[in-house]
Amino acid sequence: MRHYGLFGGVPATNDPALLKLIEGYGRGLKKPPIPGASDTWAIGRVDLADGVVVDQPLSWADIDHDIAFAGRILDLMGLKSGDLCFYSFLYGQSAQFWPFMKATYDRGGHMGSGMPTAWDSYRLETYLRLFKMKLHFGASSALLDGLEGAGHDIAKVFSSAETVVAFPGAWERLAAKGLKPWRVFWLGPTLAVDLCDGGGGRFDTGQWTLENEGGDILITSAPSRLGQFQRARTGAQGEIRQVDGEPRYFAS
Amino acid sequence: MSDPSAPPVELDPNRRYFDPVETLPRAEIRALQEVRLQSQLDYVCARSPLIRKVWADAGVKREDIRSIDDFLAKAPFIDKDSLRAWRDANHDAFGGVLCVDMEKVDLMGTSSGTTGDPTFFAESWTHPGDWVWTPREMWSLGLRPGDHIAEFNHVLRSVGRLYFHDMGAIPILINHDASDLPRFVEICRRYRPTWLFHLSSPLIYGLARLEAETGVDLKEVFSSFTACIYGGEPMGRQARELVKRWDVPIYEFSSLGDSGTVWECRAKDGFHAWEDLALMEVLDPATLEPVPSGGRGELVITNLVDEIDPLIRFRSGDLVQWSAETCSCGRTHARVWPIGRTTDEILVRGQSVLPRDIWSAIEDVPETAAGLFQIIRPVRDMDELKLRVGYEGAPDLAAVERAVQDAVEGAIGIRPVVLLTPNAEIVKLGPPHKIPRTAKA
Repeated sequence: MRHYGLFGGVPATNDPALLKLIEGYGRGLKKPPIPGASDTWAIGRVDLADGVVVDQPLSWADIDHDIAFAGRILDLMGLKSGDLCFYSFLYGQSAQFWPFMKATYDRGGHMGSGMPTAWDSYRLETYLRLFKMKLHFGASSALLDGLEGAGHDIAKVFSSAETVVAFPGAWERLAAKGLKPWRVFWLGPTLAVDLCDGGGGRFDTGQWTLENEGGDILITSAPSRLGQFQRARTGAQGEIRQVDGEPRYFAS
Repeated sequence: MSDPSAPPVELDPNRRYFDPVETLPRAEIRALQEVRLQSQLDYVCARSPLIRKVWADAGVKREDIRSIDDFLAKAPFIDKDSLRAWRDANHDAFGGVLCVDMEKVDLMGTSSGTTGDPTFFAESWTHPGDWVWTPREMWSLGLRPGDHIAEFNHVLRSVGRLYFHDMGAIPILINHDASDLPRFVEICRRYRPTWLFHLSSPLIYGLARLEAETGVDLKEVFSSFTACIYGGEPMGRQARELVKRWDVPIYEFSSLGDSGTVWECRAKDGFHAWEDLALMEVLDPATLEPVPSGGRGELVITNLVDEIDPLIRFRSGDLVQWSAETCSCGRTHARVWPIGRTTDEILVRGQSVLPRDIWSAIEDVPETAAGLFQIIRPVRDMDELKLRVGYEGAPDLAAVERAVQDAVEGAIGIRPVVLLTPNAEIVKLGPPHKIPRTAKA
């Protein structure tokens, strides 16, 4: 194998032992093989109710759990090798969006990414114009504002996307245009994805427990997670119902 | 997780350079380039439709190139216009430079797109020669496994965080937006990060506002850092003065002709270009003759190791000064000093004007001292210089307009037309990490 010292934390080398360590290693896709590498994947940002912002440290094991859940969602939409997915998010939201990107990679998909802002809407429009897209994940009101402000018909722009997953606000506008988007909800440190099949928003029930307290959704993390949340107010409103033997989130 | 059965890696944690290649004698770098260039041309000439066409049009065959000297004498150039023309004519987003099947492309990243449709970059997370940054600059600027990085980033070009994971560090994920600066302050106090990636003119402007509005002690905030990286565009005088006042250990990075990046080292005497990874030329843009070490010209790059979407003899449009002298840090690779971009240049009644020519003049006016401005450049040749200039507060706008006109005229001899815009609005006109210094309207 050739190695130019560009990934793995290992300099350019012909040492077979070192090369063996980075064989099959993808850049930053797992904990690197070097001494002292942190067990913490990253420290993310979480927006809770009433404008409270807290940190979310994640271990490599945490992110692997989150990637597995994201993969189950992508499987529900039939993502397969070669499909293109475009993710719209801000960098501070990487802890919640990276699992979907990594799960896309694991399935042989390709990715693009941009920001869910009016200014960056032209980037999404460019991808949608040039490529057939399996998934656009993260449509926001600001993105739609940007597209419409530039004179685009959003129904036409999104016609090349097989599945659009939209946040509240954008979802209603896309649905009003005759599209059939899925919905995604912020639940503090995680996301719930609603296929709009009447089954409610799916979330990772192995990692998170949701409660309804007077219509406010509270979240508690699994004990194994590095960043702990105990009945934290997410700011989401709605209720939790059992569907197909598992709890689901229904927005009010 | 790493394989527990694997032998421990033997890497000296105190080594000065990440990689021995950083200090190779220049003759050995040249020898490495000779080998890699031949291999890369074999590969690219068989795969890149743009290169095949451009070379055929120029009457150059692969077998004509047996050495770097042959390459420099005969190989035709490509530039952004070549890629755009191929893209438009062939409905190929990658401009004819993609050399692999799409199944090997993980991320389709884009340039910030401040001057038109964004340029697409194909990225593989497993290809050993794919790079935007390298671990070399991170190591030299003190990043070590286990360190916390305050990472202000965006999601346009690449997933930069992956490089930091490679180093075993802990990224703290922060929006590249002034609205996340109060959280940044808390993060610095909580985690004492040692690295910051990356500051930009909008963020420095935001920090100055935060300091003015809250009285936060930014010297204390930045006291844990060994390196804070700045990028996106050149740093203006006002920004330099601010980061100096806050004792920020600032190091800049810039583009290596869309084939990677160049970074300052601790010597802060130029930006290192890794010549084992890319063949660098600096040419007179008018004559295309090579510019000797110490001179200024246009950066032309050939990527020697990327097999995904390598650029071969790519005229970057970046104007640089360069040197082949060994840096005081001990590295032997060439250094460059960015000057500007040919695409940012405007000719006003035949006189060349670049953003850097008027930057300090605008910063000299107290109300526009943040240096947030754009040259309005619908075409390159203009009869007048028209500027959009950001201002702070609620000043007498007519007086500010006159002051900016006087300052710019004093600097370059041209009295501009000035359109004043609140600073808070002008930062919304571009990507989060830079102000587009030229705008079509």
